[in-house]
Amino acid sequence: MKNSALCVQVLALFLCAGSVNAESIRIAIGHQSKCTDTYSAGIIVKELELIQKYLPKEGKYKNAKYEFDWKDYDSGAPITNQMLANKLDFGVMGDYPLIVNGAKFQETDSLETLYVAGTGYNLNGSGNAIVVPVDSDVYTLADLKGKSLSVPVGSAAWGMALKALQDAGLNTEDVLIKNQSPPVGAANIAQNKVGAHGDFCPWSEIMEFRGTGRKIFDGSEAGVPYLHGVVVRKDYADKYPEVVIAFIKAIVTAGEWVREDPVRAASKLEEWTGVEREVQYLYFSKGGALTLDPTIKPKWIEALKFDHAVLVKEKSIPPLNFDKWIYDGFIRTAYKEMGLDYEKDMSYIHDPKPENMKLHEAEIWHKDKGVLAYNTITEMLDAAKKYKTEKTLRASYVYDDVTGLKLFGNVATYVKSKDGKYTAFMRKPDAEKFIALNGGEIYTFTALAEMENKPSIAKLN
Amino acid sequence: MMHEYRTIIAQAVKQQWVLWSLLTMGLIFLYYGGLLLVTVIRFHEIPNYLEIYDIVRVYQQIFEGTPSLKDALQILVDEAWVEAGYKNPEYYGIATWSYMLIPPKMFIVVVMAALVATFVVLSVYSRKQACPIGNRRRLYAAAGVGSGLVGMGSATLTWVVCCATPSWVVGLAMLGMSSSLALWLEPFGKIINLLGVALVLWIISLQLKSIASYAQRSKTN
Repeated sequence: MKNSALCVQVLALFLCAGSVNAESIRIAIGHQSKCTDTYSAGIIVKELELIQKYLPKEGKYKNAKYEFDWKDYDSGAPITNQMLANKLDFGVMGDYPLIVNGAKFQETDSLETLYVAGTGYNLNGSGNAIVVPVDSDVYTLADLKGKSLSVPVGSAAWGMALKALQDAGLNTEDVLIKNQSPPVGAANIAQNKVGAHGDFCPWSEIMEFRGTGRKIFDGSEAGVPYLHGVVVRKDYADKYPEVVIAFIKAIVTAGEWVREDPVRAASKLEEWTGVEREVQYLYFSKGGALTLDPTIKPKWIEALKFDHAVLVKEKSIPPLNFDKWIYDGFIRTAYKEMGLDYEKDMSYIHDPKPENMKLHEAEIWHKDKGVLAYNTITEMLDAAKKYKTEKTLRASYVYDDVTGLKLFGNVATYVKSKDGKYTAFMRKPDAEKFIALNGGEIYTFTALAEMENKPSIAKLN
Repeated sequence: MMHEYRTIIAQAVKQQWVLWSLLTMGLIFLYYGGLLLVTVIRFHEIPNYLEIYDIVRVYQQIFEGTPSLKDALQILVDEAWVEAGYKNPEYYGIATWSYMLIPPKMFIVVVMAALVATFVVLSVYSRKQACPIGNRRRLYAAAGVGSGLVGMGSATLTWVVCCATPSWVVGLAMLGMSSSLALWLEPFGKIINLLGVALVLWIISLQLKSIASYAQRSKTN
């Protein structure tokens, strides 16, 4: 009797052990294929199957069967809801939605998330922008007084818009805030139905590329870093820490893949997301707006705390214990196992102004020749004129003299100095300030490209 | 008293069970059909996608992944069973709006529809009994206000401008209310639903009181 009971116990143990080994492990990730900042933890990792490369296959994972479930969303908020409902394990989103995620989870009695890695950042907050219809007479935020500004409420762009209006001495009575989604806002800008639209990348650049919108304010002017990151359910991370580490290794690899060949990355990303490659290049090229650095920097924690304070004020969101929420243990392990120096990467902050001024002044994406670099804007403008006539000009790129940010050449404002040298600016007021100090004349790209023997029509009034 | 009220309701519903059933079902269909129609008219867009979720599996997942029952219940109240909406092909197929059927919210609508149907059959019942019930128009108006409040508080629409989460205030924002005001009103959703249900319950109690006292008087006479 005793023996048979023992046999049953042994058999049960054996079956249990078998079932643990053959456990099916779900890896459910919510990402945003229309938000460039999330790509290094989203679409790139998915399409290149990078997590698979690092998944643990030893010990308790020996016979584990991994089941991937990638879900694409338009914004971060529904990702948080799906994570709460246990339908997603990981979420990739921007700074404001990340904070809402952490706070909403901490508000519950039994659930938590951990902020485990970044995906990209811009030191000065570029990535969000306010765009006006291309023919609008609005050039500054002050010009928006009495007009409407649409923005997706609750998004990172919304937080930026509120701060920018405050800084410009405007309040919600001066500017009519409308709540509009990225596609609706972009359509309204194209049809001149709204005074301005605030959005997150790549929407403002899509509007610029399509020739429907023009930036009047870039997030960089707010001076608060803009970042995206990855959150994971804490119960999942506790159960499968090695899977979290594998995911972070995949993020690091995705960043390396982009840096290795930005043109290939931009082209592939167009294929995977539908967002034009010329727009992708603006972010992912050398000197592009995004820095694919997953480390968690103390400066980012400060920025997230600032964002949380804005959200508490505007949306009454719950408190967030940052010490419990931010956890860098997994990323440190991932770096260590990949033979990378975490401290070095964490302490480095990419400042586009000094860094991008070391690069070629301008670039052209030629239909057949690929990306061509030019030492001066003047050379680029000459080439652009020729390629435009030949209909082989995909896009042109220059750097804003004030922030160092990469811009589409066709939407920049140019100042031609007395010595004939061109300087590019994102905003017309900055070009005017430059002229007040150094002299020169303002030009637009179209006018410059068409200019031959009639320079007078090139002047922007 | 309660027993007497229950008997009156049972009798009224039994006598008019076809009307009661048709009204309950009709109001539910009218509400959800109307919600979809208003959205289609508002956006001039016909839904171009439909998703039906395995809601039982979803609830199971929530209970499996949430140690606290309180948390689990709070989470599952927003889970959709059916979702239809419009994905904008010009902007990479992003769903600009969607219409959802969320079981716990449908339950409130079903309860409200049953209450309104009960109110109507009680009106018919009292007329048949020649029982005088206050100002009928006012009672009907109050029932309308009550069901309107529940209808407003139970709207399950999403709009990307409201960050694509189903909320009753999305309906208000779609109808033109400023987003700041709509978001400010969001926490009052439950109170609005409760007010609506309480209002209809109150007028039903008034009807029952009148019918019961009339029956009492009739017996005495």
